[in-house]
Amino acid sequence: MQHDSHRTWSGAGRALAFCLLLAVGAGAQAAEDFLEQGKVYAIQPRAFRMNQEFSISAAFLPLDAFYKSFAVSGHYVLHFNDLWAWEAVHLSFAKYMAIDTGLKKQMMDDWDVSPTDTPKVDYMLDTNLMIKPLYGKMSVMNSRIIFMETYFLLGLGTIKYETAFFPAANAGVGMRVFLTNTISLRSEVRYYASFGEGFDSVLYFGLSFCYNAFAEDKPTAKRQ
Amino acid sequence: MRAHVIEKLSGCLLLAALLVGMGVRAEEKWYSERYGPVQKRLYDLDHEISLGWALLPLDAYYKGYGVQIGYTIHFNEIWALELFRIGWSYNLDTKLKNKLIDQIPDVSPSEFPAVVLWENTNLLFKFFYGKQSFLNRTVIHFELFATAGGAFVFRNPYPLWDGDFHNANYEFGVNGGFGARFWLTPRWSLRVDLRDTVVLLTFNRGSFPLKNIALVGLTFGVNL
Repeated sequence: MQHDSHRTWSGAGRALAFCLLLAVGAGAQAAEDFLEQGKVYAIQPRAFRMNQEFSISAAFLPLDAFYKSFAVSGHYVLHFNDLWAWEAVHLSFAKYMAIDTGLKKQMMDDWDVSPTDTPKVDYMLDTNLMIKPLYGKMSVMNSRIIFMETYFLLGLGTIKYETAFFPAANAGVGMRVFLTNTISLRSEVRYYASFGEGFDSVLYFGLSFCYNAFAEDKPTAKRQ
Repeated sequence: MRAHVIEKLSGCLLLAALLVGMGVRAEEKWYSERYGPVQKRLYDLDHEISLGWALLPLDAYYKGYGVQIGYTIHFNEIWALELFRIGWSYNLDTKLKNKLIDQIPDVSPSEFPAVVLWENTNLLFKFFYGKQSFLNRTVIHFELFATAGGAFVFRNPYPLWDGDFHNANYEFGVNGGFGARFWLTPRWSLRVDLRDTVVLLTFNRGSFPLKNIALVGLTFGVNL
């Protein structure tokens, strides 16, 4: 009887130990799941890839106190791989598209002062390295999915003011939304620092319509 | 005769509804096949406190560097109300303002009231939620949103600690903008805001100035 009792307790103990083990295991799994939220177990292959990109943009240059300028731009970008690309040419033409903010008139009215040294941007020409570390997808109002990438730009070029050319360096960040294999939209911000008679800066907001030439040469999730 | 017409009309309506339904179904099927289902959001917000920096870059006479704190109630995944966002700006004079004061005897610093304090109450429309892979290794969750609402602005030519409020302006305006949020952890996120306020009314002067105030914000948000 004692032997039976010992056997029964031993069985119950084993069952309890097993249950505890299960519970701890489940708890640990739950904790791990909680802690590991957002950790990646699989990254899907890309649905869209860029090859040779031709784009046109509408841009806005808001930083000048005397003029707010609009610009039209053209770009050619050569995409080496998913991470690196070279924006070989970016030309923004802003001549004739400046709007007077009224500051000159205000200064004339208030203090009888007429500033003379306020050159407008005529155009900007630069070449940029493009790095595209982020690629992903977004849901639009929880109902549709669009694919996009985020990129950064770093480059050198020149800014032609009304008076002269000045060398310039620029940095920027942008986001591309893919509409089809060949068509995408880009929105971007660039900051230009030009070095001439003094330091000057230009802020550039652009919205581009892009055509991906030779898209079929690059394998994507659909074409693999 | 009339019953016959109604019967025909009902038939046509039923057919149209069927065709529209089939079209929607077909489109959903096409979308689902092409892009897969829309996943549930991993991160969501309820009551958010945000704290961070602000930059007011566009005024011709000063550049503002500030701090701001906000409280936002998130009703659901699409809509939220930013109950308040209060900010304070430390203003640095531009070269233009210094030149005017130095070179023209009639110009006094009291003629340049700058934004010192502001309050915004805005509706948030969170239309995009997405995730991006960073260098194909980790995933970053983010959302994009639009904001619109009202703003109160306190302008003064001198800092608060000078205690000189004789030339202060108390203003009301409307503001709109865009923003992005990047989740760092399930509770903490980094928020970037671009806003533009149009001042419609200066209370204490009874004027309607239509001035622009652009603000760039970078804040850390915590979900309570």
